[in-house]
Amino acid sequence: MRALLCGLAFVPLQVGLAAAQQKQVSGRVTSSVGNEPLSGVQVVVSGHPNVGTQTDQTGHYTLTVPAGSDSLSFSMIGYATEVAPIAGSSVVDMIMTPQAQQLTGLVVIGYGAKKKANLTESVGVVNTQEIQKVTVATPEAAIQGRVSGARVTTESGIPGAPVSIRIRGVGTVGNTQPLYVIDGVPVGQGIAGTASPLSTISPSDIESISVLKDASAAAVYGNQAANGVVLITTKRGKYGRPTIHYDGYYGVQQFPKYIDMANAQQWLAIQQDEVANYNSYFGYQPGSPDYRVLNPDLQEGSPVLASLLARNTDWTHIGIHDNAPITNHTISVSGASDQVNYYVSGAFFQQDAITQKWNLQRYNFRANSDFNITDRFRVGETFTISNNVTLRGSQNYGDGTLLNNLLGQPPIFVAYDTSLVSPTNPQGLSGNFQTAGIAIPNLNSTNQLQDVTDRLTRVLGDIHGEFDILPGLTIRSQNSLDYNTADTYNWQGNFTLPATGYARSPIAEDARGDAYTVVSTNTLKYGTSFGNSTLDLLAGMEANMSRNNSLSLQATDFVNDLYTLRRIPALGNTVLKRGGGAGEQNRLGYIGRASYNYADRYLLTGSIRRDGVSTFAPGHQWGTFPAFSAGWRISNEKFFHVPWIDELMIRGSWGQLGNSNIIGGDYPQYIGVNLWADYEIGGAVQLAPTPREVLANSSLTWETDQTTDFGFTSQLFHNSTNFSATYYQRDTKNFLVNVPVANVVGFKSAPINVGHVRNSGFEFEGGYNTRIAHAVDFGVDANLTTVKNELVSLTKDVYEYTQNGAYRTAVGEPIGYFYGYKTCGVYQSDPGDAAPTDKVSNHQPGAGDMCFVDLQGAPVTDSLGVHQTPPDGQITSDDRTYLGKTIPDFYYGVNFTAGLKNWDFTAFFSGVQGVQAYNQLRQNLESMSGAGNTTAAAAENRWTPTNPSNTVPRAISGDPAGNNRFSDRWIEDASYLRLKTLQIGYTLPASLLNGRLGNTRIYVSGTNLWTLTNYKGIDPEFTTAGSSYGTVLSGGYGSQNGSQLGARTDTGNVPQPRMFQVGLSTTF
Amino acid sequence: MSRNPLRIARWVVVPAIAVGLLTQCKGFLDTQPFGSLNTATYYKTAKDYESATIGAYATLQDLTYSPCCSTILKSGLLPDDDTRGGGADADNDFAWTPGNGNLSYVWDVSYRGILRANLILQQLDQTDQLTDAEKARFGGEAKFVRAYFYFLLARYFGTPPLVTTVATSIADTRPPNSDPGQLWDLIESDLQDAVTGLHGLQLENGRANEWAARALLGKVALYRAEWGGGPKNSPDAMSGVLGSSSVDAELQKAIDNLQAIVESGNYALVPYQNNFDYTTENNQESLFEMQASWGTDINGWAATDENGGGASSGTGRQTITGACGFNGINAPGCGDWGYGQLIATPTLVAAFQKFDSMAVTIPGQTIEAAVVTRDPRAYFTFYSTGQQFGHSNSGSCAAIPVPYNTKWSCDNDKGAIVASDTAKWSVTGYTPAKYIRPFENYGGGMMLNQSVSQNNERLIRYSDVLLMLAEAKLLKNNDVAGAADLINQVRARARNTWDAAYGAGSADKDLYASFSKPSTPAEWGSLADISSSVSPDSMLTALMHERRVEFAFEEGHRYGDLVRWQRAGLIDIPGRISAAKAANTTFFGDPQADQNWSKTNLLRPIPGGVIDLDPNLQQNPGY
Repeated sequence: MRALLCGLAFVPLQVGLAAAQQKQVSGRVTSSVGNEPLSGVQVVVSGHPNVGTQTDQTGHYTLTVPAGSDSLSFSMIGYATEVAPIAGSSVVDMIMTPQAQQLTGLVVIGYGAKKKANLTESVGVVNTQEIQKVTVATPEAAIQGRVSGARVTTESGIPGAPVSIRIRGVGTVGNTQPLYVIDGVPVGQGIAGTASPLSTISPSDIESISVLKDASAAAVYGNQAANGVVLITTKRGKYGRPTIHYDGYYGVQQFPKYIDMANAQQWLAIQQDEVANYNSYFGYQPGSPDYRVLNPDLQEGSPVLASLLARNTDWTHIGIHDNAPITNHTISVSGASDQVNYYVSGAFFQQDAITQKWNLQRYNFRANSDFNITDRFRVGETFTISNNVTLRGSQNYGDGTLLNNLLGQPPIFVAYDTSLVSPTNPQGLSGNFQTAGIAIPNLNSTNQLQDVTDRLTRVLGDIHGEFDILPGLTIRSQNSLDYNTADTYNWQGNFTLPATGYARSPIAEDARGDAYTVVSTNTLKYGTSFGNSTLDLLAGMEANMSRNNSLSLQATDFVNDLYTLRRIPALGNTVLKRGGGAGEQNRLGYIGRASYNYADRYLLTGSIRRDGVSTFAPGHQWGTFPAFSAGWRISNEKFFHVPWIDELMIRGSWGQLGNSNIIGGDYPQYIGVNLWADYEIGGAVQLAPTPREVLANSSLTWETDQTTDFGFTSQLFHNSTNFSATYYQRDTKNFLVNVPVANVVGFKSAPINVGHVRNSGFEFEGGYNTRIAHAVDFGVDANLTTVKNELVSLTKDVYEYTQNGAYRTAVGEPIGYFYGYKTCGVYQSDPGDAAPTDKVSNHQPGAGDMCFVDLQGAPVTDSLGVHQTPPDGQITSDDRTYLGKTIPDFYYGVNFTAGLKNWDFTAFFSGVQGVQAYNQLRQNLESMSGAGNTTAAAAENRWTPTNPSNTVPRAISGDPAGNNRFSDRWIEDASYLRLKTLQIGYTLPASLLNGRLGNTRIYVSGTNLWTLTNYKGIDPEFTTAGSSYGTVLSGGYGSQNGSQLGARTDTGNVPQPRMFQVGLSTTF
Repeated sequence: MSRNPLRIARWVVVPAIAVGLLTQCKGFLDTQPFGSLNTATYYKTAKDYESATIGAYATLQDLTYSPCCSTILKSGLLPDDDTRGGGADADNDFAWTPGNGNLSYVWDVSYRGILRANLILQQLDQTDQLTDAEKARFGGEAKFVRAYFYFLLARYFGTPPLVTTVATSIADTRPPNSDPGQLWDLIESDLQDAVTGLHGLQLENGRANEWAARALLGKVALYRAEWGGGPKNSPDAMSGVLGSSSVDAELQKAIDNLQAIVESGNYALVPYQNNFDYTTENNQESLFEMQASWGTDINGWAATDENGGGASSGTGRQTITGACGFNGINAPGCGDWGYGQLIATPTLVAAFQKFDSMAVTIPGQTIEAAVVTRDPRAYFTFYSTGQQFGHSNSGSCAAIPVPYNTKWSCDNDKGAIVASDTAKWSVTGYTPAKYIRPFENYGGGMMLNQSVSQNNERLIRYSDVLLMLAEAKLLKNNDVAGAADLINQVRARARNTWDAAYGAGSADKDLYASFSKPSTPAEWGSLADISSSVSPDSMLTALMHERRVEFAFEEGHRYGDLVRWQRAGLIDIPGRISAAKAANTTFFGDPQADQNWSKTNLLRPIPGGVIDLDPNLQQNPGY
């Protein structure tokens, strides 16, 4: 309650009256090129942002203008914004000039907006027109490739999969997600483990997205902003009568790439070789007890062998859902008058996955409105409610990924067997139980037999008021509630040996929880001009309170398997497994900002924020984060006369931000106690509370993120071209990591301020617009960002460390780089003593085994430090080395647009260069040491005495010589260039529709149509494996994508689908 | 501009209210952790410690957990001469590397248990809501758990770090190796404190009591004396183990504590098979057991720590010793996860002396002659041909009772169990039966295809107390008569188990109808009472034999015994390996294991992942 009280301190109460005298103004807008009418031009009364309209198909507009208005502003994307005086006339015509990018447009920044030309901060913008051209399912995806400095990657192709955004490299290995602010309300990075915080937003509702990249821009968001801030502004009504707008598309998705697997004959040959090589490696003779033989069913002469081989199942297509549908419908009503504007919308989105059994349905409803109570007092609100329902199977449900499992199924296995059809197994799912003595569980079966339902309902609403106390002085209060409730119902049917290959009793678990965040933001703004100077001041405070609760129940033993009765435990089953939890977090921040502008030539902004968070130990809760930025618009100087430069500004900024987000770092001064273990004492099973295995670190403190950047923005060649370049250096000091610790104290990890990470690089953005042959509008926009990530130093007492057997963090290297053994081909003959002694596998390589490089001996430590030693003739853990990195050298996006009369065309490419991935899927599919299947490539290429491969070792049961250990064999270049979107649209001529419909456009669109990559996996575009999709509540969604730990390990994630869509957008 | 009083008032009042409310924000951030237990909210009352100590004991269940292999069962049982796995097996073959996952699992679980104990001990010092007696009791229980795990670590890894406090900084997480004497001193003093703190208390089953502490203390002292070279001052002693103590003092400590248990009269030997049957858990022979339970549903895939959902889901233990797949071939009825990774070696079978060969006839099938021993403990130790085993659940053979046969196979066309010439899933013809027999009875109506059971692991048995006491008495002062008396108690109990194994009480009594119960010492062979007048060396040999047959396949006993006796110079493993080779057989039951074994294997390698993160830690020599 106290939070609310202190949050509501500034709610204004003054109500006044407005007197209004109005008049009509109309006119026609044409293009300077070809003198054609322009439709869709925004016409707004200067000084009255809510009073405006759009031109129709013939370029005409009519507008009711409040008394005292002296000018109109005309704006449209791709054209220079113009301002024309009204000067008592009732007709105002306008001729507009095409332009690459409007620098006069307003950009939403923290707690306000700024003219783009006067931006001294680093802010990337995506607007509604661009979002419309990409038909994305989530708002984050709209940013992909469009904003320099922001790297956006979807975790997998599963509907609703989290999207990771990394702004300017990776500053920490903990949670690297930016802060999302929707219509001024910070959401996300809360403690509720929910899906992407943006799932409440239909992309059609978005007016603009601003990405605040440098400290100066983000500083006003203080302690949650260290990874950057993504501001999303949703649409408000535009001046005019109520307008109904419909946006919709339907599409199909396809699996993009199939990996060829060995056929049954090849598989059998590998099985035979595995056994033969095993026996010869150990010198086992027939008759010796250890002599290994193939299962009798697989031996020559077996009566069943021929029929098994004849099955030759192609597992690459099992579990795939081809032509999976995706559809979206959004309908909105909007409009505005002098006193009110409104925008209400409803949206329905549905998507199936390109793998079996995954359906996402989402409903979004939104109501945005603003009321001008008096000419000095304004009130507004936003209200959204969304409901996400996902129906899914066991995919990624603790047993590994579906694709990984299915590709590894032996070709003599079958997915379905009609003889197994029964009421509980209507599909005849087969677990191939004991086929040829092989026991491999079948995830296709479990995926089909398991039903998981996730329901996520989120309500986000705010009410805000603004009161102009004096001319230039405005007080604003915004109060919001973000409430979400989540429910995961997991029904795991009876897994039987025949159907699934392993047995588990049926389990039903219902886990539900809710979370809410209340935010109160109160600001005082003052703006004034004197002479050529403009001064804007901002002061405010923000209070933020989050709570969550969860509860889960698990039952076994049901009345029966009928879907409708699944929740009813059988009589006598009274004991249920139960769990639950709760959490809270409070934040408090004070904001100050001053901006000074001298004659649009000299621009300065300074800001400071002081922030506190409840989850640090007392004494470590508060941090202060200052920032400055400055710009010099040289092109506005009188001495500046370069005819081909229209705009030129040099800008720079410096600032600090804080980060308190660390997994497991809440209340770091205490050791938490888990309640999930149990044990029998005194004949009864009892709860066994156990300490969380995370070190209590009472000295844990703020991570400080300091960014310096400078560069220039320009408009060239009569505004046809724009180009900007920025150099940035982002220093993350005391960066927070939950580092793995040696398990000699019972703890597995420790949250600590571990050291200093630096990300530096350049960001380039450019665009060019022209009209060719007086008919074709052509434009290209491109951006490129380079990243150099380096661990500069480690805090005293912290050493370099390796984790998960694959990732290392060391000074002078990018954080979390791949660390393992280097290979040197395949031994073509038994090397005998020539091979180093392998202390890792404890078995020496033979002919056909991998050669590993003996890089060095054990390091020695003396008074001067640690020294490398020469190779010691042994392969030990000291021979591991740098194998690759998870952060790319650079990433880029290129967008081509073209228009001819009513036709428009967009092609958008994005790419990543200089990054590696750990292809664990391939490691699993090329191990050739068990009964699982092998890729066709490895099957054909593997070493045999007659096929002297130097890249793929021999097949040998159990892999005694450790051919498959983590090494450079599994590290691949994951650079790619991808045609993300190709879209062709046609806008219907007004005449065709007799004016009954407004602007109507139909389009066809393709997504992920073409990829250029050397990556051997299914899809190079993924971030992180291991997201368990356990439950929404446990943070299963999005729990991994925020973290750099384990990034870029490919376990066979569902790839990004290839998608074809047709869409319609119309207004009436 | 008019001077409207209201307007002026607003300029004063609004900021005043604002400032007033802002001051209320003080304390807004001072929240306690909400809805969770931690060191600020827990470890206060006796009730807290009642449950916190359960958390410490629960670590024991983690040790016996694994859906497949990574358990102490594998790393603790495999490398010895009683048991072997199938084919090349790193654990079995002494191909131990720092990367061995089974060993690092044991390491992790042990330090987990130590943390739980350390935290309880640290918090006990800070609470004022307990009486001194309560503090002594909860402290005693925590110290018992800590000593149990440190003893395990000392035996496995030699000089693992000694950590007695809860780490508070990253520097604390990089301790160096311990001084071996220091480690054993702590174990003994912890157990001494447990003896004192638990004195006279009758606690629930599953909690340590004074006698469990004394038994473990006696065992530790015996080990320490022998690891220190024993009375013979062997060169294979581990230097420093004795610290400021001596072999004599340690042996005396062992005798004192073990004798106290015998004299207490609280414990007795029960029918041998009751020690492995879940219906007779926590019986009078048991000093301490890992408590497994069925609960509402055992999740065979998760250790108790990973159940993830609160009480009552059961805490099963794994039964991977079941006879099943071997070398890629699954026996029918083995279900999905019965790997049968552990089989009995011929030398173990031979150790149950006094053999008879007899033909066994199964109705409808003829199966080759099996070897049956007259030591009835053999029946409860391993399965041999023809004995009732379980039900097949494979295809058309489902629900057919399966007799034990190393070559059984399901003929799907006939729907019958047949002998197959190619199928082979126990190379020796014997697989472990402890904790599994009687098969249908090992927990919750479980079938062969289940890999978990609710059967408690008996960690300290009274027969172990008797035999350790005998060993200590022999080594301390050649007390042959004292040792004979103790060993003979164990043998007498074994003889009394005849009827349950082969006689009227046996499920396989028809199989052994022609098998007569021995009546004379000569017929009992090695199971007859040993004379109290044999030489100390003969008595020692008899004791070693008795330990082997009494504790075969029980957690970690055998290799622990071999290492201890090697260190004390009582046996010569290299010599035995050579002798076995000369006799064209093997000592460890596997040529690869015999070839690989060296004195390096008296210790196991410290996990490489730990050394990666703790550069102050030195690897054991040879790894």
